[in-house]
Amino acid sequence: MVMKTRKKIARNVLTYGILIIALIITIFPIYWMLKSSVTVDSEMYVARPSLFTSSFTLNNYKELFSETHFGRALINSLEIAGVTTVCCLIISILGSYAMTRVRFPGRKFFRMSILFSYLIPTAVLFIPMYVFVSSLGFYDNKFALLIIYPTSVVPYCCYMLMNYFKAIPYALEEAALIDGCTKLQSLLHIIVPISLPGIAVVATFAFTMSWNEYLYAMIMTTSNAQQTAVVAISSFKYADSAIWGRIMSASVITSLPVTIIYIVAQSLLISGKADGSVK
Amino acid sequence: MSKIKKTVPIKKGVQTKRDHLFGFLLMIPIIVVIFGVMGYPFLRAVYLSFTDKVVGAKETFAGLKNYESLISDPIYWKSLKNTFIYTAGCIGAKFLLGLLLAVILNQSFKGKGFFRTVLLIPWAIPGMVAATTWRWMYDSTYGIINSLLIAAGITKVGVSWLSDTHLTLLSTMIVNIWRGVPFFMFSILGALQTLDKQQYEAAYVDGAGSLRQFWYITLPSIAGVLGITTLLSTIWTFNDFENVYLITGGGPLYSSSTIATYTYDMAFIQNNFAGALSVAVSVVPILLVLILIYTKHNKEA
Amino acid sequence: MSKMKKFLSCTLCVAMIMSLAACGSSNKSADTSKKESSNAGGTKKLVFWDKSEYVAAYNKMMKEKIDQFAEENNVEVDYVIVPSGDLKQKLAAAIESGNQPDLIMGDNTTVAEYVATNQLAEVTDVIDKIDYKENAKAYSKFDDKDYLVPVSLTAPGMYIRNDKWSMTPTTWEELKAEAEKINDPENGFYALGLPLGASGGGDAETFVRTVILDFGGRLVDENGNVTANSPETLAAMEYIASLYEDGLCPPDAITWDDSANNSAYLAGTVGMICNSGSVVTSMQEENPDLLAKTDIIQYPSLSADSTSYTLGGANVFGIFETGANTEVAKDFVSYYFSDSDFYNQMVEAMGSMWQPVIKGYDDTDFWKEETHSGWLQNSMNLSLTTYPAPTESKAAVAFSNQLCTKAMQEIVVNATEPQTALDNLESALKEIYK
Repeated sequence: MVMKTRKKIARNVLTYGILIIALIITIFPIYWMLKSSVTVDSEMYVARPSLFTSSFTLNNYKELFSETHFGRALINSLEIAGVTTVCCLIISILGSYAMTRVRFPGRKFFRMSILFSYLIPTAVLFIPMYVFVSSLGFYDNKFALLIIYPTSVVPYCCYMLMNYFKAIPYALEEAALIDGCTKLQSLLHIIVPISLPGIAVVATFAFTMSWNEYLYAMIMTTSNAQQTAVVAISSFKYADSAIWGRIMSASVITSLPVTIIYIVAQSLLISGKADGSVK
Repeated sequence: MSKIKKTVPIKKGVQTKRDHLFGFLLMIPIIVVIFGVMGYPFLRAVYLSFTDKVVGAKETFAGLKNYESLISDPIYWKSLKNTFIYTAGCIGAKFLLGLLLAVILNQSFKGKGFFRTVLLIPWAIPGMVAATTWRWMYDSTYGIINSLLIAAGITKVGVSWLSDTHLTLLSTMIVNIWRGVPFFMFSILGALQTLDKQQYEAAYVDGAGSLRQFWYITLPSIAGVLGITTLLSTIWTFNDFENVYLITGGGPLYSSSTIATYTYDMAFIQNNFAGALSVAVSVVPILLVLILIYTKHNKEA
Repeated sequence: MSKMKKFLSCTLCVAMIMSLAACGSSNKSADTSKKESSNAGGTKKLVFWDKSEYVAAYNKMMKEKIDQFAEENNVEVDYVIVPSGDLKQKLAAAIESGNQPDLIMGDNTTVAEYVATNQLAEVTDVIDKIDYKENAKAYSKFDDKDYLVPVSLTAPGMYIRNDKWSMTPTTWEELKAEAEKINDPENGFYALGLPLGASGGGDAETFVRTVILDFGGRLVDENGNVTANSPETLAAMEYIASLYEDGLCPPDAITWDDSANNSAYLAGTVGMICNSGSVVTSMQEENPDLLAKTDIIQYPSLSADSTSYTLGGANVFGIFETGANTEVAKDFVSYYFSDSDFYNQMVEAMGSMWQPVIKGYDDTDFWKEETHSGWLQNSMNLSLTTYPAPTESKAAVAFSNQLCTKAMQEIVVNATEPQTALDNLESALKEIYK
């Protein structure tokens, strides 16, 4: 009995030890970002900065919204990431269903080309893509991103969704099909509800991907009215000076929405995921 | 449409024409996205890599010239090597740390929800923001990391995170790992929670230790998730641009240059657009091989 | 009945999906058609990509100016502020798709890159109307024609901490000797803050080239011959390398971009930097104490009687020949310079970051102030960063490829023999000038 408790204690120490180290490493950069965002500039540019701020200020945040276009950029990001997520989910659910549960010639080919399209480096694509999309009439227009983001988000969604769909037992669907359901009905009434938690996971990641994207957003949107939040941050860097307080406060705010989604949804996501893929 | 009749009970192997049509219909949006939007730019990029294209001028076909000069370009090989070190190192670390944390978080203990939530946050931070913040922390003069190291008496003069050519690549990798561990942790944790408890009970009765249980029961059951997570993350890491670019810019002297940053350097600093595309296109076959290995392996499993 | 129901639900689903998809796309198409119609509407739309400046007043004044121009001339304008770090990618993409702006503002080396690919219009007609100072006018030339319209000079100055330095160095040797005395790395203080990062900004390259010139080396002569491989250049490179190898600069300095030396100076970790007036502007706002401890001095020279060079850039307008409204853009530039009092106000609003390119504004009270006068002085002697090579695309390529910076990095980082690094530099230059 003593042996067992001792073992248990050792195990607890180990568990908490690892977790606390991980926690510190995880939190520190975030803390530093927060700290820098509420520190006055003169205290920031010092050798050997101290861990805590002695000159707390919210000025950086105030200025961010009163003197820059950051507010507009946030709304743009929200619009783009929101619409991209919804569209990509619809497209991917249909496609993933087809690729996992409907037999048609070329299924394998499509599966491969989706994965292949996912691996093409952005560096290869971005200028030809810009030329192509602007030839469609999107110039300095945030909606161009709605065309571009699916090229990376859809393959990702499909790959994840196919995994979930594959795990759903055939028997479930078969029963419905025998009952006279069409495949489309079975997708909507059986497959989608069962994999809803999985879909939620994919949706969060899809949202994150489009919210965080930088390179395309930077070249596609030029004027302040069209910029996304991440691009707006980079506009606070000037040729030979950077306003760190402003960059950090904008960084904090840009990180907030996704962080909140994760925090609210994570317990649901992880446990939900479990329910979704009952074997 | 009204002709739709009571469907013949569909078994896995039974194929009908209607199924074919239905499958294609569902695929149309994806076909548009993949082949419509991506196809032309990709083919164009591949074509341009065989020309002498510079921005703003008409290109002429140059055959293999760009690729030939890559072969004799030491920086290209250096960047390729760095890219492999970067990818392998980051993926290895993210995999192991993610697995470790997921296994720990799968146990029940006090404060589990708190840890699980907080450890997830780096993944929510935009890559550009993470890189900018770390760049700020690494700085040798006003960076907090050196300040802490010196205060703790570990070093006397700050560590040159961004200028020591032996360290720069590692500095960028640390940031990628910091941000990427939660993705592994999250995916693996999800998979772990689907595992059947009965299997373990059986194993326990059989007297298998926890390590053996982990090796023989847990790992095989989550292999699928591990595979897909690793594959996706490998592609992200291999093509990671903004992280390296914003932290070291690939320097100094290309010591942390990767294929992605070298492409950028060639295109926008050296104004050699076709050359840049040849750098980027040259790694597509490598990624392709990776995927083939994965799919083949996956089929066997 | 059940057939009917099934059919209905089926069509409903399809319709729903279709409408969702259509919804997304109709949104987009509505937006584009609006855009096209405004372009086709007859009124001209002048697109101006301006530099984003740390001094917020600058972009505000420029916007007011162009709005005023738009109203008086009945044109539409699109005034866009582009961060300089993003300018090259954005322009590359825009040029490739034919969406280039009509007018850009940038530093001369960046804008000059677009001369080489025949993007920019000749502007002799505009230049001739402006009463330029002689050395400022040199910034307009490219291949013996005028392509760039200089707006301001951005002379660098040497900032030193007068509480640390006991004397003002007048020669490079004095600078080094004194630096060795005040250097104190264990307490996080380095005497010199010279950036050597090949970040694409011009600070490092400009500094190396300045020292080479001072030592009597010439990378490329007036006739475009590569003359880099000389004992003078070698001596200059060895001198610069010694500043790093002896630990007088922070180790990170070899990676510094153009903003890092500013930050280090503001942090009080280095005792000297070479920079444009932007640091003064930041100090005024954030750290007046430091400003009081700062002297802005002339660049040292090799010896008391040798020439001291000041190399630096200029902000210039570039007018795109390939843009849709080249003539309107030219009109705006002339309009901008026609109100010389406004021009002067703008220069003064920039603190001392900008020095005037036109004659007649050097005697103002502003430039007589102590903190400002040094900058004007430096701008009088300012030469192009590619001096003495002819201004042509080869010189621009050599500069933007940061060949000197990379050669210095090889010596400092890779411990390459200086002569070997110089040989490599020479062959790289010859590759460009072949």
